Amino acid sequence: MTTIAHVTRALAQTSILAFALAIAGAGSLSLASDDAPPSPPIPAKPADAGIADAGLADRQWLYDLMRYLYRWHIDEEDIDVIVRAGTVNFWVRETPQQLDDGDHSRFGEVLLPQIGLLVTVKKSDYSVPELELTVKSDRFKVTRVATVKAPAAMPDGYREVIEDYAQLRDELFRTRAQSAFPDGAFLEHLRDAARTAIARDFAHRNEPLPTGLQIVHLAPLPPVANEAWAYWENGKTLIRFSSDAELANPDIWKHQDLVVHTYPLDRDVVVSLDEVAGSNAFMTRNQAGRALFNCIVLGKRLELQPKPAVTP
Amino acid sequence: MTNTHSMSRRRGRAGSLAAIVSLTSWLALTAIAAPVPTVDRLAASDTVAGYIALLLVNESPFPGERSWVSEEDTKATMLSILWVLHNRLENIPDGYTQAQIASERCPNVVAVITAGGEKGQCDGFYRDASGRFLAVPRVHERVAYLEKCAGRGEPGRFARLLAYAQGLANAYVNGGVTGADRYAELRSVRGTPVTGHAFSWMTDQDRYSPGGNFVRIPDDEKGATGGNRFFTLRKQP
Repeated sequence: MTTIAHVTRALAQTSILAFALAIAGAGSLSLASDDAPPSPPIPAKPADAGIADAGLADRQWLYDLMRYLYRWHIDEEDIDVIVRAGTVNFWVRETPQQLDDGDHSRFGEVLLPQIGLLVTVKKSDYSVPELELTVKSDRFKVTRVATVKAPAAMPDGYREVIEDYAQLRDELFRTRAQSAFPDGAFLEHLRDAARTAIARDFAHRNEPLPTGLQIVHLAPLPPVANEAWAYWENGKTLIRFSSDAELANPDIWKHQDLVVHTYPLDRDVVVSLDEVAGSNAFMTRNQAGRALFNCIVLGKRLELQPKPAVTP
Repeated sequence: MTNTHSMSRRRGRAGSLAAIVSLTSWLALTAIAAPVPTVDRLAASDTVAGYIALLLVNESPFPGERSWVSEEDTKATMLSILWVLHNRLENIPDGYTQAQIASERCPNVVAVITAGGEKGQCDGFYRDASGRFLAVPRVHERVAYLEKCAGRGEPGRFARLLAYAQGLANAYVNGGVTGADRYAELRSVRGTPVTGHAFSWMTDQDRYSPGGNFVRIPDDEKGATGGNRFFTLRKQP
């Protein structure tokens, strides 16, 4: 029994490692998005019309969601139960909200009962006259991820989508290099917004902006979240860009003050939030480490010459 | 004559009825379309009401921002945050001290906001060495941008939300919170006895938890609003 248990455990760990490597894209230092072979469409499973139309049960979307969760929220040990089960179970449902007139956004949840993770998602569809901005997403985007105690049985209102673990693992491994990074005008928007926020922070502390070549690491853009992360190496600062709108939409960058948040790691990281009880000005070392892994290991390194000074 | 008179009376009744209906409709419409306050500028942030409003706006999502749901959701967020400030100031539960909940002794609402300094209880809100209550530039930059947007064209959601925040803050300074504390009657969370009322809020991400005796108010108790998660306290400290 012990031997079998050990073998089973070893196999499981091997599978977990394979899964981890597949999803993380580790081993692939080639980061251009066109390095991976073209991905054939994944055949959709029959689904309830309402949920399928909304995209919550779309297999490609669930695969992309799984990759995002692995990179940003779960660890190898969380996968253990999935490896043992041989399936990845998703409970999905729409969660209608009371919205403003003219807002056609849709909200939903994806619960992964095996690992107790609840993902809240939104497919935005509204306009903001004050910003002259249309906020519209073509897919559901993650708005929140929470650890929950999943009920033993699927509650009413959810639909279960069961995916084969090995197939998911293989697909994610095959497409492991398919990382998209901002470029062109999009990259310039990120750069300008980050620079403005950083200049403001330095001015507030009465410190001069660093000069010379600046190194920035961009994390891969998650296709299921309207957020982007970058690590500014010279300033030891994590930069988060987030919005309800698609970040690739150039119109959102006219309002960049609503998009950027900076985390100076040498000042704003603690081991435990108990050190700063009640304050959310800090991130934990674990969270910072995960962000750094995405930016530096999985990301794209850029060498940037400073632009002329920006008045904060 | 009779007929004419009858018709006249019918017309008269009809006319009266129409007038009543019209008046009723007008009153109803007046009630529905009562002008919603709008502003495109908060009170100066060196006033208590202006400082509170600055915090309420800073902590709540506006259209286009991540976590935006609706105008009502953002208003509920502002109201819940104001209640947290008030509860930390006035509603300390038995067995707790204010310093345990608010991180220090706070004689007034500004002290509650600035407790712990720039990276304290309300990120970016602090007092300087001379005692002035201030906020970091990014707070002012965002709010200034929202004010600028609120001033464009016909007053819309931005202007109404700014007015709501300022209205809450003004009313608080002049007497108290206008609006119910949605968590006041909460007595149990997942079997854990709690004090009721919210005493903390944080960005609603898994990594954020105030720790200690704070208890996360779950979704089914409307504990998440405006991208924030609200926390109550264990009944037993």
